[in-house]
Amino acid sequence: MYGWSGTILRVNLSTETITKQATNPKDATLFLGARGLGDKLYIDEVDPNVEPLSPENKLIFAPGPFSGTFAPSGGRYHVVTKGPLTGAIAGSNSGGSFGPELHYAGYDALIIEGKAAKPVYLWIKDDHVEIRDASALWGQSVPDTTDSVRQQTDEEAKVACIGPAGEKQVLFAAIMNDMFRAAGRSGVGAVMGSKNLKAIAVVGSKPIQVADPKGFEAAVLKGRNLLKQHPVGGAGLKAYGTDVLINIMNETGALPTRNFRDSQFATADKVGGESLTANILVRPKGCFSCVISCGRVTRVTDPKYANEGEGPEYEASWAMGPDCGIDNLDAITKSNSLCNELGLDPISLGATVACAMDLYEAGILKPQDADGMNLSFGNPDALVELTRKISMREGIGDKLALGSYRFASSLGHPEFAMTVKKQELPAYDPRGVQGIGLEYATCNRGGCHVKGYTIAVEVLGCGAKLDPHETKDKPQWTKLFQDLTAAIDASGGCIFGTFGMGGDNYAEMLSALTGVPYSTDEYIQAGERIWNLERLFNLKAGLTAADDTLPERLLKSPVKSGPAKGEVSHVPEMLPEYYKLRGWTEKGVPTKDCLQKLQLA
Amino acid sequence: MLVKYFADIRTVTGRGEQQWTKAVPTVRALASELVSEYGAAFEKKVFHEGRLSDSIIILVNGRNVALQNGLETPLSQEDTVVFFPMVAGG
Repeated sequence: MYGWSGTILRVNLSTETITKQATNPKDATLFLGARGLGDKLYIDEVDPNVEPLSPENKLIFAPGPFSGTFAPSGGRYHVVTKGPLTGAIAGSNSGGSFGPELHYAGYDALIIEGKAAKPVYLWIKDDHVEIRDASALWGQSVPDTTDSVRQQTDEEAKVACIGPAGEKQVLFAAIMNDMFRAAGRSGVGAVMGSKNLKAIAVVGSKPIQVADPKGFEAAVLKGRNLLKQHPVGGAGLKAYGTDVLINIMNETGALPTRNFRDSQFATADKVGGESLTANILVRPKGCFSCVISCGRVTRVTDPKYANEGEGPEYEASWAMGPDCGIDNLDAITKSNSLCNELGLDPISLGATVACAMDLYEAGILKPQDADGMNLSFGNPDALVELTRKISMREGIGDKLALGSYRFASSLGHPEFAMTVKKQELPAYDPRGVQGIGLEYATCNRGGCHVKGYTIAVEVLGCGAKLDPHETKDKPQWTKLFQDLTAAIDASGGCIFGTFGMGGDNYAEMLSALTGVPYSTDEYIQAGERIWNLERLFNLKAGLTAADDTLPERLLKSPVKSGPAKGEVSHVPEMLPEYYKLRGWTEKGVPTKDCLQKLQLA
Repeated sequence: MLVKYFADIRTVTGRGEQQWTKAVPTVRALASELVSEYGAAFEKKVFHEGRLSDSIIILVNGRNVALQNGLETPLSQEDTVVFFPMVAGG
């Protein structure tokens, strides 16, 4: 096979058996790789009603065809499982170099089954695969684990691992790779922890075969040039990182503030990309084969919050900043570093702290139940301490480790949780930007922006300029972004590549790489196929159209001030058109015709 | 009128915001005044062949002028005007 390695690695931790199987060419052609092929493998093998943290659940790591090639920003891999936070299909995507290395080792996917009797890690060196004792690593941070595993295997090994948060099955624990990159969302780290799997180290030396080397080179160079010439892909993200969005979202009146009570934060500029660049940036950093370099290497010198690491990204800066009413960038960066070191999703972490602060100020969470902390909005020390407590499941942290929905529900007030399908919402107020609300409501992995990033056309003017307050045309844009993103995820590409490249460029690169001719429409349809496959799994897992909604606060409480004053989200009005465009019934179920068109029936 | 600058436009102006007291009826008039103050670097950010550049986002009271009357969008002294380069993230 070209592009694909042709082999899938299966490790059963219960029986300590290691097997290999050939990649099914038809599945690879239809589902591409990474998110798509991972979804297909997972859904073919796992009961949708599986308990996410049980040995019966599986955990799949999958690079895509681009992973390890010099396709622009083609260094991604995807983690697929059933999410413990949502009960839905969980897909978490990460950059760095781990995905390419897994591909170089010769694998299109790594399927983890069962549960080890004691902590273990996996050592993969091309065809050699070994389950090793990790008892001495249990309890260690992500950097310490990474260093230890490299010392025990190969100093050049690429390592994905969990921190204490994953071991303790915090429901929004991340899988970290290359120290600072994260498969961050939907609790994939908790699933890894439930299997007693501490880390995976990999070294690969096999080439990725290219069907049409000259055609691939030409398509890649065209894509790289498009990115370099684009104001965002070429210079903007490298100069200021993603955190530059803080100010523009605040000025647009759609920066969720204090657990979405408000949509503007008076001192937002103190935590935005301009302040980050001026005060704590050491240098930009890119992932494998990246021409964008949106990553931030940062250093905080204030002794109280001193840390060195990477980030925060926009989402983390928002969740632990304005959403908690906090404008101390040093404290936010400290908490972000703790998330990296202990292995947490900073979006769900920050949003869960924000929810606790909201409950505290409302008098529902009593001071005696808050471990003696002042959980008022704006307290940076409470944020840092709660980050640690949640990771270690200490005191109130043990309850917050279940996420904001379960925590607020335990106090009788689920309406304080700003979640969809029990996953915390990201950094755009859907009352001020209508299309992104539809993405939140319908995303297969629960509340998420990145799988259908309509902000690009609703706020940023990339590709089109749409009125963020209008609902017109938003369903079709949401569908298009969701399908294209699924295809890019499945290819092993980074969605930031769309800040310069289009579906035609991706299709051209994939065709030359694999030898399978994909038109632009066929490429985007592969994404649509993946989206529907995930939807079918969720429906079988018990989710329904009733789960395609937003928290009541966003549907019924108008924005109080600013450019979006008076607005609520109109998801309920947009949803029927979205279902229709997808070829689904009024209850959100894919029709037979839809499934036949997508070769899913 | 409050005028704010972000990202690399702030590096051109050397400041994050300023109060603007001179009467300017439209965004074009304000932008032209700012070109006089900050020079060719600012002009390059805002204009492309006399038109509003595709790489600039100008908000008046939080609303993108590209969705209103572009450079002819009217202004009053109570307005807040914001200049961003095209940025993105996620």
